[in-house]
Amino acid sequence: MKLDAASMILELKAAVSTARKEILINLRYPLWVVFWAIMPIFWLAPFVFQGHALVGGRLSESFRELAGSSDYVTFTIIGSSLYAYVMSALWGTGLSLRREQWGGTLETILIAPCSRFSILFGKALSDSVLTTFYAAVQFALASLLFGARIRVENLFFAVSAVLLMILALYGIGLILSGLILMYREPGALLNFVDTLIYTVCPVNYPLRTLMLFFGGVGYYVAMVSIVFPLTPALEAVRAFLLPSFNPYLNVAIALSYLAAVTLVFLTLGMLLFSVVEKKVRRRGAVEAY
Amino acid sequence: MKPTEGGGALGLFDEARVVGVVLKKELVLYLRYPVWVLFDALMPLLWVLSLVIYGRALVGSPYSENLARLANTGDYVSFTIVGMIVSSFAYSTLWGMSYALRGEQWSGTLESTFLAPCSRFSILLGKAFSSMLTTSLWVFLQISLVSLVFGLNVKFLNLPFAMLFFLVALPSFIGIGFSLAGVVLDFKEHSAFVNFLSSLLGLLLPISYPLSVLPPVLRYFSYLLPPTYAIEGMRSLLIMDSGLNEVMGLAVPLIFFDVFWLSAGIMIFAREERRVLKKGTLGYY
Amino acid sequence: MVFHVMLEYSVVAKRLRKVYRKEEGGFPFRRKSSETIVALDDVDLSVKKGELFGLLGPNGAGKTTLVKILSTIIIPDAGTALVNGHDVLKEPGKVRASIGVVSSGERSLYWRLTARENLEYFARLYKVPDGVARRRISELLSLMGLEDRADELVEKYSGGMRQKLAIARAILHDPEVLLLDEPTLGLDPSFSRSIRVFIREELNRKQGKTILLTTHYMDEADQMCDRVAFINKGRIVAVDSPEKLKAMIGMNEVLKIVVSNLDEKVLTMVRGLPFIEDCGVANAEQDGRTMVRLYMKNVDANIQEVVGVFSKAGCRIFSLSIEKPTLEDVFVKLTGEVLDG
Repeated sequence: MKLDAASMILELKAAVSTARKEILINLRYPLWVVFWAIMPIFWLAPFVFQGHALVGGRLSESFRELAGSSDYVTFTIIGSSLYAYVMSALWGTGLSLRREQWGGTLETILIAPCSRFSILFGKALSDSVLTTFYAAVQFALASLLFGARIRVENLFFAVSAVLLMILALYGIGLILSGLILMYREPGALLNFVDTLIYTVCPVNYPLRTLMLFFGGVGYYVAMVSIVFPLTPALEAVRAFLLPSFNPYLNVAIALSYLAAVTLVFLTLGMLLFSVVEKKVRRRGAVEAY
Repeated sequence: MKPTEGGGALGLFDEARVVGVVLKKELVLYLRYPVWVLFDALMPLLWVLSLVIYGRALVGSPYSENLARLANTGDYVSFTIVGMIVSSFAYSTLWGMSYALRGEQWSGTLESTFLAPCSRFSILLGKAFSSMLTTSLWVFLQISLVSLVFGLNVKFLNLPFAMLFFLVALPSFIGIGFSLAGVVLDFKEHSAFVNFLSSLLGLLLPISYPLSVLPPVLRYFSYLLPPTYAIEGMRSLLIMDSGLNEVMGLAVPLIFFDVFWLSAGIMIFAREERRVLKKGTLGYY
Repeated sequence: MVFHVMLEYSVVAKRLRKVYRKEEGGFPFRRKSSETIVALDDVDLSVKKGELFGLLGPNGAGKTTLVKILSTIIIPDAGTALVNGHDVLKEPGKVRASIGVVSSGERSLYWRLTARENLEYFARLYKVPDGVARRRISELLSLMGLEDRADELVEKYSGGMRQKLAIARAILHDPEVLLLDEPTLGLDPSFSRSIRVFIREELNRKQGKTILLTTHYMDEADQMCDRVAFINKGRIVAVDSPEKLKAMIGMNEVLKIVVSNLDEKVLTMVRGLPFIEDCGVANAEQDGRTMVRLYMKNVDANIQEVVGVFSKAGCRIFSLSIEKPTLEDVFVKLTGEVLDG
């Protein structure tokens, strides 16, 4: 990939046209769009009900001690809205090449003279646009059903943090799509990463709960958690949106750490993906599955 | 050698042997995909962890006053874990058959399997039992681990009764499994379908909360689902030490569901199979 | 009371009809399109007991649909079939017990099981008693030359070995009728030959099995079959022994010529020659060469004129040969179409 301005623009155009294609394909099945917009509510609702069962209301004293805010409902709504991006990076970007491989179109795509990253980036771009739509719908629906209280005036900052996270997740998506091209059991790998992130990241419970629950081991679990960009992003976004939230990571630290993680994952992703792609081509397994 | 045209007891015996060999084959195949074995060993543990940690965040201690008021026990850790265990058994029977059929369609072996002169239900049962067996194994290991770490408050003396209760629920699960397997035969969007149904079940089944916290509309739907009764019954036996009367009250609707779903399942599968045979797409993925 | 009738025919198809309707879009937007494909158009067919019967036709002619109907995994829209005296619609179980099926794909076995495990599994599914199964499996493995690798995963087998195992699986329960759908498709020539010999000599002649075999390789049908049915676009065009079919050509020589730059104009000119009865044209090769088969009287005397027409029209001639008529020639003559392959 050349790095002069003209070719960069061409690459960007390739990415944008890939993204457009993907979005158009999605819009062709409007019922699916509705389906995926509603599904996350089914995943969120059990946590709200569990809260009602265990504390009998929408406020938890323990949550206030752990996170500054006792409003666990808004807390989990924010968590699951951001988690949508993780799912999309894993099952969207991570699986996108694999899907082309299944469909038999991978070779055609790899033959195109633009960079593979532009194609993947285009897919990630379309996923991000769609996911943002889904996350917004989810948030709106959840607020309607369960009630969410956020500081709307900080929405701009929150969205910026989310954008940074999307870039980092794109890096993770790259790493996974490389691994998946290489090893052919994507389901197990993706499910594992998905569940791991869901368990160790503060999607539904504050980061400090890990220390409360696991004792000394909790710090190590928290360290694993912070490896995933979702954790600093959640800390920052909640600090912006959730009234009286007391983050475990200071917002400035969370954001600069998120930026650093983004760089690391993007570089790692590109490196790994290039290596794997060459390896797969040498093995001649572009089309085989 | 004449082709066997089993009838009566001998035919039933032959069919039982088909169930057995399908069960054996599924287990052998399972062990040959080590990634999935590892996956099954780890995943349920992580899922239950996220529910239990969340509970801890909500309550701050291992005991919830509010749950004690609602459900006769404040020990939400045991409450949730038993809920998870029973629901994972239910899932394994419900999905086990359709997943396995889907797999055979994908690998191309479904046609050769369906060419055999044995009942399709024997094949499906073999698949259901194998997924139940692997689930039991992992659940057993995981309970042991969790009991060691968190000190699970389970009344192990009631375990035989709980298992008996599960047996009462089983035919209805199998019937639903037959229906799903039938639907899957001619359904290209299998994973989205399963995803949707299991998400719906995740909401409606009383896994991490008692039904009383659900809005009334949802609660009515919960009462239509056999796994709801299985979870409540086994939980009563295993952690609440409820009386026999209470559990019997849950067994009666289950027996009704058993009859209903077994017949519905057999009918739905037979109808769907016929439809696919007419369309000529049995082996198509 | 059961009548034991000596059946003259092992397979009888009566006015079988199957129409596929395409489906468009995915769930939940699936709808039946008005586009239909007639796979079988009132097909009648009888295979005599002990016969090796070939069903020859191009891809998409309806061969696989017919085999699948006979093996009970497709239900016809109209008509029915008797296999070993059992109706495929009314007694599918009895039909299944009395047939063995081999399909062209090699994916009908479990790749993550060993050969022996595969056979043991299917033996149970076919309700073969354990003792019989054990004996039969070791017999079959050695018959197929697989005993050394019987305990290896099928994954590690070559395509030919998998096909042998698929045949072993099909005859595990010693069925009277075998339905073989393109049994040599995609195998290398030496393997194909050994499988053909096995089917003809061992299964048909020695074990006396009735075999219905589909193929689009005319040589295969010519060499192996007692009788051949041509099928094209869902219709049976002709049924007879290969020799009699070839006699239909009415002449014993065919001029085969490979040329480039062939177009309709040249063909019309060639067809216009007084001594030409008919001609068959294969699909053009990638390098622009086309094979033309000319059915003509007196090849020796007229060859010069034919060459002249092609050369004048600017066609380059790559090869020229005089051959005996084949089943392909008969097929071309009957349908105007060429068997692909």
